[in-house]
Amino acid sequence: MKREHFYDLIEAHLLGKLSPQQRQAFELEVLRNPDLAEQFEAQQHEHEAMEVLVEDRLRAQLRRWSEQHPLRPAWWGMKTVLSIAAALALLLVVGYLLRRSGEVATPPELAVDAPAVSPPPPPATTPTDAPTEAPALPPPSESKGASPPPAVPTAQQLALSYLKRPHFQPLNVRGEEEAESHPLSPVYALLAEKKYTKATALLEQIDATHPQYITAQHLLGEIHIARQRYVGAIPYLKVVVRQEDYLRRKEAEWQLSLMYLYCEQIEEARQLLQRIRRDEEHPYQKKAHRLLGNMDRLLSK
Amino acid sequence: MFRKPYTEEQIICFLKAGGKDREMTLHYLFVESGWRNAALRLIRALGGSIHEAEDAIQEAFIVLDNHVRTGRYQQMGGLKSYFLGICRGRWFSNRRSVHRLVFSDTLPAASQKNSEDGPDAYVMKKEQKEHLRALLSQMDERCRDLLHMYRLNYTMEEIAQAFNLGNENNARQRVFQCRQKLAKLMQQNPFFNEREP
Repeated sequence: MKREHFYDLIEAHLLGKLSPQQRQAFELEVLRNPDLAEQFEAQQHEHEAMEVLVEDRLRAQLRRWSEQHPLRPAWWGMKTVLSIAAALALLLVVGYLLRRSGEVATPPELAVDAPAVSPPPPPATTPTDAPTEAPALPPPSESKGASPPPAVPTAQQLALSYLKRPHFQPLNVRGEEEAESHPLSPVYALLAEKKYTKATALLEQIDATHPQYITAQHLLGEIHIARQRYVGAIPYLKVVVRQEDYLRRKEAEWQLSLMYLYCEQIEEARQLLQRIRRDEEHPYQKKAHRLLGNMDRLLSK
Repeated sequence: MFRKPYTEEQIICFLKAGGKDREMTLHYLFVESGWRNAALRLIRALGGSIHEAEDAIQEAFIVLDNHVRTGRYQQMGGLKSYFLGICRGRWFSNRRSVHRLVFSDTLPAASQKNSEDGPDAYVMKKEQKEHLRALLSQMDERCRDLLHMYRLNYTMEEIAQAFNLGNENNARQRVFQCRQKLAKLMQQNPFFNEREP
């Protein structure tokens, strides 16, 4: 066997890419072949060094996660459950009291189906104070039945609440002639008619050397968003984010952060949003700020 | 809240795949899977404190990641049981190192089983790691990042993207250059030279 072949084989072994049978055969060969054994030892040392890097970084990462999510003894879980139960009970009591006071404010003939258990006595009201208190109470239709507390949104729901679905408009150029000669003109025409498959096929033919490559990549990302294929949008938006075109990049940064959030790649989403928030001139700076706040609330729950 | 539970096959597959998948899987295992709490209960039952448990658990995650990636985990028994076994071993071995300083002859009997490589090998390995850390500190940050990604099975395309290297061939070349630097540093270090046959 040649040394180059040894190199690849040893790398595959050290990176855990060999099947158990191949691994066994390789280990036998190392015992038999001194040249292979020598090269194996050298490469193994290099991998041991790389593994130290991996271990040290993972250790630092675990320490960070551990600070963010400290270990709690078993009773801590019970405490959380009890707190939630207490909060729910409190909500029910408040809802019940509000409902009762709503019924008190309604005319006596409508309050015939009041529950048998009488609530604590309401504060004494005179006919003249009743109208002033009425607007503070929830409207009768809302007060019927205790409405459940709003569900905590998922990362996907949060991302979608901020996402504006792309609206493809016809090409905005000076004259009809110019529009016809523009290389993306047919694509825009297809997009305006929502013929996404054909538009995608045309856009995918545009290679990296083409002057409209970045626009094409962004459009491909937006087509995925329009078709609600959010995971598929990420690679295209990543290309746009890495280049210089200011407007496309800013738009793509915002869209990419939402896609990351949708795909639950929380750290990536957070980093990108923080970058947007730091950029005073970024068109999505305020939205990024709000979204980060919402993410923190969501994660803390 | 964010993720469905991973199956054992998925965990193994993602850890082996490396890259972002590995990172997300480790985050899931560490934060959301409940494995840490199970390990905490185990170590508390053995008489350990919450701090001892935290140390043992973190080390166990590092070992688990390494064993799965390098194929040392043979998929016999459940992965969670394997992890808890490592936690128990790590806790005993950490405890033993503390006890050695104070009461050298009162080691728990079970801890003897967990020294798989023996004390000499353990010390040797530790010393080797220190030498490797010293070598790595002589390399530039970029090379260290690059080798870290390479070891974690990031594709050359991903490496090229992360370091703005243009294409896979450039990435491959940079990895090779960094490997050569590392090999050279190793050759210059007597610790590794003495070990050569």
